[in-house]
Amino acid sequence: MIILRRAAAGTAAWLAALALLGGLPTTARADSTDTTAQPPPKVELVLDVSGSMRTADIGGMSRISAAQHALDDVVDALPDQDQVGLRTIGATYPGNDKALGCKDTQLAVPIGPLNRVEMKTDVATLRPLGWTPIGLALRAAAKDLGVDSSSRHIVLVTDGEDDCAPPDPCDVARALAADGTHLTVDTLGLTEDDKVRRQLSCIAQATGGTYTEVRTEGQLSHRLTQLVESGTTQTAAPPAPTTGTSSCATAPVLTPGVWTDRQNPQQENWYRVAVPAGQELRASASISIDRAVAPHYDITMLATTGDGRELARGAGASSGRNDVVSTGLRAQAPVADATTSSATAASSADTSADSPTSTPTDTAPSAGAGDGTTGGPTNGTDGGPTDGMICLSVANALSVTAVGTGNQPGFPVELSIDVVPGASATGGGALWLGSGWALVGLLALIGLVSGLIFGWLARWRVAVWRAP
Amino acid sequence: MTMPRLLRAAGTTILLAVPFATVPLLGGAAHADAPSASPSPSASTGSATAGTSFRTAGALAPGQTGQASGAVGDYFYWSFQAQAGRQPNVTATVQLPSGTPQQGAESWRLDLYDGLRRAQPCVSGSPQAQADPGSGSVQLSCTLPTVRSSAETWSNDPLPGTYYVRLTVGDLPEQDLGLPVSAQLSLAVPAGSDSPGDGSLSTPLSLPTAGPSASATPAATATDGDPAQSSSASAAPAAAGSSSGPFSGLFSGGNARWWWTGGGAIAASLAAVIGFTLTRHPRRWFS
Repeated sequence: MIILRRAAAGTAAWLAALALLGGLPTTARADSTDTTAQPPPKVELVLDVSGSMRTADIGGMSRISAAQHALDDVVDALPDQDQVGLRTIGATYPGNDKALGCKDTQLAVPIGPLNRVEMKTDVATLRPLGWTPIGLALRAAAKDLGVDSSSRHIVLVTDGEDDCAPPDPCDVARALAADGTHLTVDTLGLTEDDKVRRQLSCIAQATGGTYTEVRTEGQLSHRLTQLVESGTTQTAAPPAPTTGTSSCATAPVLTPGVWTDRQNPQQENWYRVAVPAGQELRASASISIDRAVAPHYDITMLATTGDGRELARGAGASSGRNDVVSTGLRAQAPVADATTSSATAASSADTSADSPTSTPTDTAPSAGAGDGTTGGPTNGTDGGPTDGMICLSVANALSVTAVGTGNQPGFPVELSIDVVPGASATGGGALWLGSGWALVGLLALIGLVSGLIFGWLARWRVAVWRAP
Repeated sequence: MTMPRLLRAAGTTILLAVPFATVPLLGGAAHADAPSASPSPSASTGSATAGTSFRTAGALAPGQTGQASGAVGDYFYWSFQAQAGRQPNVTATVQLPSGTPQQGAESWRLDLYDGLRRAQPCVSGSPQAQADPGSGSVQLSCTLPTVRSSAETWSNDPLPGTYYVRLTVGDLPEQDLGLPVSAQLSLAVPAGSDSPGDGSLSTPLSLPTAGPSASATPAATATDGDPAQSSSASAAPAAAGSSSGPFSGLFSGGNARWWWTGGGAIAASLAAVIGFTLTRHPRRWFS
């Protein structure tokens, strides 16, 4: 009895141990999916607390108290888990020394889950004092936001021009946007000054952000809340960076998804996409116009085979004020030539096993509709680097009006790539049949007429038969 | 005596007509299966807020109103789904800043793009309009060409899938930049005048909006056995709103032709029977 019991206990222990062991990997996997999830979007508010913010012209309120009220409203409106930080400009140094005043920017509230009490106390204690080093503050804010793959927003609230240039804050913003992924700077101006408007709208344009001119406290808090909310709710995975090359043979291979690159004016970049035979490539390219350019501009996208035969072409042109110029194309994957497939037919048995690009052609549902080459477009061992690939070229004709450093960094390019089954797999069918009410009517009319004719024929025959 | 006979004759005709009238109707309704697919206005969730780029465009359903509030100079983006045979029509009303005086004429414009971000023409409407100082609002509209069901890969025909609307100001006096502005956008998708054509796309024209995922390599997608599902998985949320019922495949593309032709054949045979009966027993009908 005792032995039996001990044996039972041992079995139970073993089972428990097994369950634990079996359970551990699953929990580990669950953890790993959590860590690979998209990092939350982050927003940093950059508030100008320079001396000029004392001016009382926002509906009888001083600019700083209007900004403080608006920030309180924002803090109240946001959900707890939002990642929001606050940085100040010119909050500590009241003196006249430009060298010191132009370093005056502090991170008041680090980016993290919203701490309402801390944020509100920090905002309430701000007193307008110093200089306006906007460029430096933007750099620091970008550093605060980090360079992980989340979407990053800076909301800049200011009333004055940068009085510490160089660096020009507009160039700083453009360089920062080129540096990492998905950085947007939204600007809010608290003055009607032309120079300030030009500078702030330039910063906004450089990063694809917005510029708003605020005249009342209500406007400020409404717009600020709107911007922070839209910044903290962008959850889609940002585009992945890539770098196009000058020829297809060395070009990076893109998988379906959104990619981003930089391109100088008048430049052409090449990319490659693996498209199994019979499948269709869908691609779109957009160039953001992040600086002043000559009034007419265009973008051309070209899909070619590895040996340079053009498959499709898309062009987009526009004029005047614009944020982006875009185009797109569809291209059917080239079917392997008869000569190529016969040359590779002998070695098709082993190439289909080890070549990654030829395997999909065998399993793809559209392969039967094509010529059914088992080897696919590649011949595995000595095939060129562009076999089974469609080459994509993106070129622009943008002219930068500013001389000198106007070309650097390049314009942001966004590439959207998708590979779908070709239309031939499902399209068409029964084209010899008809459709529409006219067809039905015509058939009915023919039926009626023939029924009448047969009826009369029958009556006549009966009459003839009965006559004698 | 004549009246009841006539009535009986009419009744017989109607009875005879019923079976062949329903079949083509079925095919007809299915031929343009979009009305069932487009969500009814009551089902939509009020308004769609505009985005600031193609990727963040606010999704708009037919009958829904798109809302935008921002600054003069912002770019407002919306996206919507259109099916074959539809002729989408977009109308925008821009409320210009009221409190602050406008400095000069602003030229507002409405740009439409297809799922591959190719610019689309407006076959009617006024996609550009001048807003003179003092005018409280400006109205813009654009009607797209009828959406085809398929097209050659090298053509620019409008195809089923996502469409983007961009509302922005073109030329403007510098002082107006950044002033508050709001806009409403309404979308209608009536059936187009032209026939949508033949064939169909394997998937609607919609591009992924998120970055590439590690698993979405072309080899992986093709060997999954269902390439359409996996390769455009990221585009699925955008396209999900446009998907119709499980039987939509029965009545679209080449299948619709079977229904039409079959219905026509039934109509023809019934008409033949009626014609035959007319000649054999004319008194039943006309006396």
